[in-house]
Amino acid sequence: MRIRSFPNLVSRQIIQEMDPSENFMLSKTSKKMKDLVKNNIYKVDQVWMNLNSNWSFVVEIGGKIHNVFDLRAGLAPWEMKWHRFLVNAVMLHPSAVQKYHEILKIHNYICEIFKCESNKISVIDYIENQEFIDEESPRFLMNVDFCHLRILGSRSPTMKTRNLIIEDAKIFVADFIHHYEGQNIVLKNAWLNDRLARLFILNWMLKMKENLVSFIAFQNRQEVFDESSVVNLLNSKRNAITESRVEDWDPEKRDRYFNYDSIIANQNVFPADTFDCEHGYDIVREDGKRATVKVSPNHFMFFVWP
Amino acid sequence: MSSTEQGTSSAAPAEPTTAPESAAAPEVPESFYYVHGKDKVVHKVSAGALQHSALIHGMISNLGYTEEQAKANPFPFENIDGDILQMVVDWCNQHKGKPTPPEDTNLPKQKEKLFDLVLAVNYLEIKELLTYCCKQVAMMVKGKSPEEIREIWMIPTDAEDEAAEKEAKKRAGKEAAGETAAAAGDAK
Repeated sequence: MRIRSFPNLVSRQIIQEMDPSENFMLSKTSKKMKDLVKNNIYKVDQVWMNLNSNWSFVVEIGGKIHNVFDLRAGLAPWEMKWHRFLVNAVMLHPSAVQKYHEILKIHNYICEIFKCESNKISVIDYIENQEFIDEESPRFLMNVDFCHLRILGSRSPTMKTRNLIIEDAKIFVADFIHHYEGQNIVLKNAWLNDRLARLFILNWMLKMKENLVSFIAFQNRQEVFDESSVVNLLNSKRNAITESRVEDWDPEKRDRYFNYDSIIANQNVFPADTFDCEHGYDIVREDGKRATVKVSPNHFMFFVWP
Repeated sequence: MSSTEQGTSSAAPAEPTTAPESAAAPEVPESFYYVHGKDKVVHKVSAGALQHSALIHGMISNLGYTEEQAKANPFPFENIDGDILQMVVDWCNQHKGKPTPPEDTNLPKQKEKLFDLVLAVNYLEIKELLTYCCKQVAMMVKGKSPEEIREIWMIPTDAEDEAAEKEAKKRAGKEAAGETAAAAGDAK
């Protein structure tokens, strides 16, 4: 007697009785069984990668975690050990795919059979506030497309992450003002000051942020950010001839709204007027590159137009 | 344990021996029906026990058979082996009018028997027993590797599936060709 000769309703009931790891194993027996599992599996809320003590793929069903597949020790990259403080999402850069191909393959496979989104690896976060250890620098993180961190350790290797959200940036906002080399960054709960904001603008004028597309920092409510000196700096550059000059919005030169197409837009809810640049200060560099600065006591935003 | 009565293995229903009646018989006598499987052995089952089967319950609910009529017209389940039907009847009798427990440990441990029971129970639409059976089938592969699961549940490999599909296509092609030739012959 072959299990495949069961009517579909019976197969469904059997699959529903099996736990996620058993269904994972069953799906591995043949293509047809994989389809059978996919078509009859229960609702799974999310696939996670558990980087606590035993690295494994787990699924969340109704708030409960179920183990699906343990990563073999040799398969899990050493650097990933230091991932555990990530909030919830890591996206791999294509260049990392080769190296972590097998892990990605398993991840995507599990997402496929449990019908979950596979374009990010969600990481279970057990230990907060853990900092990177310099010797064990997670090179892996440098190759991700998108990273969502709760807090940042010192000497973070995330300065090149293309799309980055830091939930609790605090004083580390200075690190990103100085060193961020990625494209889109959102810093929340930042401890900005006017000096840092001015420095950032000057760095861009001096072509020191050439990959940058957007920089958005939301100020911590308790920290005072006096934006007036930033505005003064910008106003002083109006009518400049030999260097970058500052202009008001001219509808013939750019759109009113900045087209924010970063993956961050799918992961983060922005205030409604975030990308409205009607009242922003446009900086036009000598090479013709244009950026808009939006500044208030609550935020500092910098958008580079294509 | 079972109040099932077995007749002889003949096509016609044999005279089943009557099940022992309890001392305090109900005022309205319970009606009985008769079923047989592939082996033609007739089982006498009370209407109360048969309520577990949505299929049989649906069949008998409007019949209004007398005892003689029921005896003369046993329900034939030719697709169910006799021993499997016996198991089903036993289970229905055991759980007649009782709430079903969360699990049933009396299900067959042999793979083939369990699979046949699943098919029979599904056919007869006995919901609770089907749930137990599915749990038991699922238990068979607990902690097993894909290879072990394949062996236990006799799952063909991809290569075997492909070969079977090819064979089926070939057969279908031959049959179609045969039909075309026959049609051409008729036309002549």
